[in-house]
Amino acid sequence: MGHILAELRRKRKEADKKVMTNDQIPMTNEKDNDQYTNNQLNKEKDRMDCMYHLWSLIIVCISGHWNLIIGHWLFLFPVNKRLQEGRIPDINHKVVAGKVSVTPLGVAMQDRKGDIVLSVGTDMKFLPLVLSFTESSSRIFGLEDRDALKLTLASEEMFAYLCGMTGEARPVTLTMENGFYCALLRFAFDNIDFDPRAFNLTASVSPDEEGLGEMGLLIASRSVDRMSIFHDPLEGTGIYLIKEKTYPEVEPWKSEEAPDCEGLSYGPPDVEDLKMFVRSIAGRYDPFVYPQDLRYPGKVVDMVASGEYGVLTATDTKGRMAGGMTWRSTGTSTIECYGPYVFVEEGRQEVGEGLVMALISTVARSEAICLMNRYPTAELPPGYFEKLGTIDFVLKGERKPWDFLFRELKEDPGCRVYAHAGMEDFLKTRYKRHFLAREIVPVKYEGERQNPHSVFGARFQHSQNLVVLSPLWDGADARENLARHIEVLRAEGIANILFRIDLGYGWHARLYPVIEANGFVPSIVIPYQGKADWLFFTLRD
Amino acid sequence: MVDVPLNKLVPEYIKKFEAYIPSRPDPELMRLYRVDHLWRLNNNENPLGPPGGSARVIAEFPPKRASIYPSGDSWYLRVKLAEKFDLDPDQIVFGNGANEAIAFVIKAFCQEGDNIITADKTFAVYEWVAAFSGFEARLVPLKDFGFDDEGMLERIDDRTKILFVCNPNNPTGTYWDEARLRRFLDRVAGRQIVVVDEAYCEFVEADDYSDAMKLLKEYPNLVTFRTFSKMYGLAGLRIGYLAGSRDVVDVIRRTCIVYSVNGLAQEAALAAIGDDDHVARTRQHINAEKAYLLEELANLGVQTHAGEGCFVMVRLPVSDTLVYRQLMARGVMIRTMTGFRFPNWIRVSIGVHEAMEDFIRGLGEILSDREAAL
Repeated sequence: MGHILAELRRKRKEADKKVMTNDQIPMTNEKDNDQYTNNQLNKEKDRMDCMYHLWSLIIVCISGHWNLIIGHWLFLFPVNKRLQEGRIPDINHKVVAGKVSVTPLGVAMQDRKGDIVLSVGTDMKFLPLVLSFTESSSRIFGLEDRDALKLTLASEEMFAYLCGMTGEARPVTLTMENGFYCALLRFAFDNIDFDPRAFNLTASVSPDEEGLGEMGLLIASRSVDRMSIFHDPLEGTGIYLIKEKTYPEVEPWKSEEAPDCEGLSYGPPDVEDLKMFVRSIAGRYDPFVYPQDLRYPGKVVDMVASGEYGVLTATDTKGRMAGGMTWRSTGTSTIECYGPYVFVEEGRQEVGEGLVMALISTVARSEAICLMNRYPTAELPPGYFEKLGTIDFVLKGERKPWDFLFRELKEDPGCRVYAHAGMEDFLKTRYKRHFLAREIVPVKYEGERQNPHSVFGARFQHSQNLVVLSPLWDGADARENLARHIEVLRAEGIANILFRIDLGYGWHARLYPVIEANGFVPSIVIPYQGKADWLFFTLRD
Repeated sequence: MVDVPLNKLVPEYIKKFEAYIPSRPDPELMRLYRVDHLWRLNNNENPLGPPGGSARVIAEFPPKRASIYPSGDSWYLRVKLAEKFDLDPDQIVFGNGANEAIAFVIKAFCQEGDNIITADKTFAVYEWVAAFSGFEARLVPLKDFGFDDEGMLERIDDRTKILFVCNPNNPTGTYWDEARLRRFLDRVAGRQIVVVDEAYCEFVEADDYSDAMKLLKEYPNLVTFRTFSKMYGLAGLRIGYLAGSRDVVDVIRRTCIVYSVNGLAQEAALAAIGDDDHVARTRQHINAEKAYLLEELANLGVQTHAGEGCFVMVRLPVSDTLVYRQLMARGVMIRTMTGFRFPNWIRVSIGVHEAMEDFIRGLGEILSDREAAL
């Protein structure tokens, strides 16, 4: 049986490789509480699903758990078929904008400022309703058939998993939110214990009953572009499943016109100018200096409409574009900006400075404390940003410096950070160098009870052959789990692996011995990126 | 312990807000920045403190009086101010600082879909209160550091309810003279409420400065704000007021929170009214220290802008928020101006001479270190 399992793992790795090396995996949205691994816009996803079903069949052959898999397929096959054919009717509900309709099953569904909500119990008899809800509402929010089916599959697996976790029916609320460029399906389920181990990049299905239970989570995680977990007093506890729309790639463009750089005005562009702005960036700049979202003009339009991105351009009196900048919120305290991108030959620095001043003025009274720039161009004026440090990373065999630039938008209020003794000296040195007022609170592991399994998030940035790992779930197996992540990423040819912790969480700081034992060293502190500052570690050569 | 179901209790629009977090108390800041003193040059406080009469009231305030409710509508203060400005006491409303008066006015006149108009680079509270209350704040860019009257008039539409003019403007110190304010009010022609915030009016010595209080009889849509926090050195007691026509103030009063001004603040303010000697001494101090500051800043080679008021703007070759931290580490607290939409500028309040010297010394060191690093 050993060689069969080895073969399974090999096939799984091959399939994962398709996922992980896809260049369209974007930097995920750091606004989400935590990010799981994703398989963004993976052209091989259909194949992935086939692979999973094949593996599950083989696993069942080995383990003898035919009851589970037969039930799984008996239900899923006809549902998927009918979904594909568009033949699933509304089972017990109707989508009525702004209304609440109560069905004979006692489930309530309502449109709440555009969100569509379904509340059910964790009982498999509601599964058809959950499927119909997801499929219908994701289409309403613009997902194409193929993407809607993927999200429906993920919701089915997630719901089945939650039903399996609870002995008696517990309330779970599904909310479909319109992200404009994506559909966000939120499962809110207070008071349900679940082990999210399967969300690890390195997760695989083990041929025991527990492993089979988690197969659903694995399928769910690989059927969507992003998954995130949330847990706070305001939002409750739950999981986001996010499926993005598919957009055509940018056609680079370079204007022949020469805008007049005297008396430029700065403001948000209209839709067509916005697309022109995106095309102009692709026409003039290396992909290295703009985020991957900017490869898709239609996506940028939708992301601006959703409020996720902000864009301002500099135009002359005739409406000709001299340049622009983009930004997005990457947390309550931080805005990340990109550029400035300048499309004129003369006066590039002046246009760049005008754009930076306009951008800062635009976001100055937002709630953000910090403005980051991880994609500076040559036109970024001196004096507006502080350099926090540089990480050398390898791209196509060559070492390249990656500067981390930031400025504060407000007077630094100071904050408390947690630190393990092993990183305290590093932090003190950095805080002194940057005049950052911090109260360092020491933490360490002192034998307290731990969850058995840890989860690490992996954020891919393929244009830089980079992955940033971060802790999502504390667990006793953290050291081995992190080692497995590094091994997998190395095997996939990822040259640059960073690890980042949020110093606002004591349990992140407590992980220092795990991080250090896996060869990481502290490199850069970025203020106020999360609950408190972020500390980035790089792998020792 | 019971879990409070906040996700169900909190309205959606409140979930979107982030609480405004003011800077920590001085002892906390000193501990964080590891300094043994802190010069407060960030809030335009009067370095001479309150007038003598107010200081005596504060020193002699009987503790037993703390158990007695104050006048709910600052009765004696309104009577005395009405006498001073030749108004009816009912034309005046007091608040817990002028910030509260801003909220009263917006709440009184705006409803869903309405807007207010002000400048982009001015005191932030007009914009904040409007935005937090769900109203649009239309921001008109300053022109030559001053409020652009034409630009504001152009932005008026059917849903515009209030125009806010900060005169003199915080932080630029520019002001409208009386002729300009009259022209503006004539063009508005009573269709909207015009608020003229005169928080710094007592610092202005120019003869042509427009005193909105004198125009109230002619323009019933005019409302003016005044405060005891700046010239009268009572910032810690939080007391300010507004004045306008009886009809307009009658509407504003409906949104007021009564009893929001404490008894000590009322008595200290009462003692401050009419203390012209305090005003003269403060002006003298401000003028002397401002001249010193501008000369020293010129020696450092940095651009400055100083108008009316007890503050000076300084443009830096580096991030203002970085310089804030660097100065804090030297025991000097200034105001960064990114929040005023003047990135890389700082605003320095005029303080005592020793504070001015420390500021100049600290800024000089920071700029030299930077040049050396380059």
